[in-house]
Amino acid sequence: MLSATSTLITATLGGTAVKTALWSVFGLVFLIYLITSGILLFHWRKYGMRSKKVVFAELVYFLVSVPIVLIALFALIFV
Amino acid sequence: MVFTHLELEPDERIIREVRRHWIVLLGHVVLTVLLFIFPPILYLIALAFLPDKVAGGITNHFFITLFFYALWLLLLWIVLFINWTNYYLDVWYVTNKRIIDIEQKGIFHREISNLRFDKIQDVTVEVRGVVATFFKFGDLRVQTAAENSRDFTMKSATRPEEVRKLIFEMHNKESSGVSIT
Repeated sequence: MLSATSTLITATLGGTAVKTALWSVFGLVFLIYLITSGILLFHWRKYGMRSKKVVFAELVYFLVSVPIVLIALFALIFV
Repeated sequence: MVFTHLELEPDERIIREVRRHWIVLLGHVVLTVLLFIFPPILYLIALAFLPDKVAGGITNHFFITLFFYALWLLLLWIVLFINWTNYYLDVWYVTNKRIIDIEQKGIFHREISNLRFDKIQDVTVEVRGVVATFFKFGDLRVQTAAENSRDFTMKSATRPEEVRKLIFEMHNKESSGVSIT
């Protein structure tokens, strides 16, 4: 039973429809990322009062999140 | 730091910033770390315990697993920074003239209130439990004399006793008519 399910999943994941679905998921999460980053950046710039901690947080946020987005993108290309 | 959006008076200066204790944020960080390591553990368990054919199927989909894990990490990272922003932008500024209370209740909910020292009726501090005593944090509450204004409260404020002393000191100077610079 499990083996049959596995085979079915494997066959389905190879399909173009699944790839389209994965790209849609990526697009949705990327959109959420863009909007949230914009909002956070707005708050940090407007209310952060140019504090060193805020500048550091800004740096850490993008230094980690941009590679994560790239990893997701490359993984999707190789699927 | 640049305090332009606080609209300070010309002879006003900030004496102290009061924030919630970092331990408040620690809960979010620990939860994020747990959620960060949860999928790989689940993945390893699946590989170890599932029948070979199914496990083989999973390993064949390395890039799909990586894709979803990366998205999961991205969402965790975003939520962590939303929490940090809410934590960091929630602050009291004690100036030589008043207390400015900035409450960041959510990413789209921000309140700024002022309280002059002559309107202060009482300041109470509540430190509950061993952890709060050891790390020196507690709830701070400034009661106002004005009928139509609300009390100022900060949960888990850092070193609340020192803040209470400072506010009383400023209040007494204001009451005795000593110019505070």
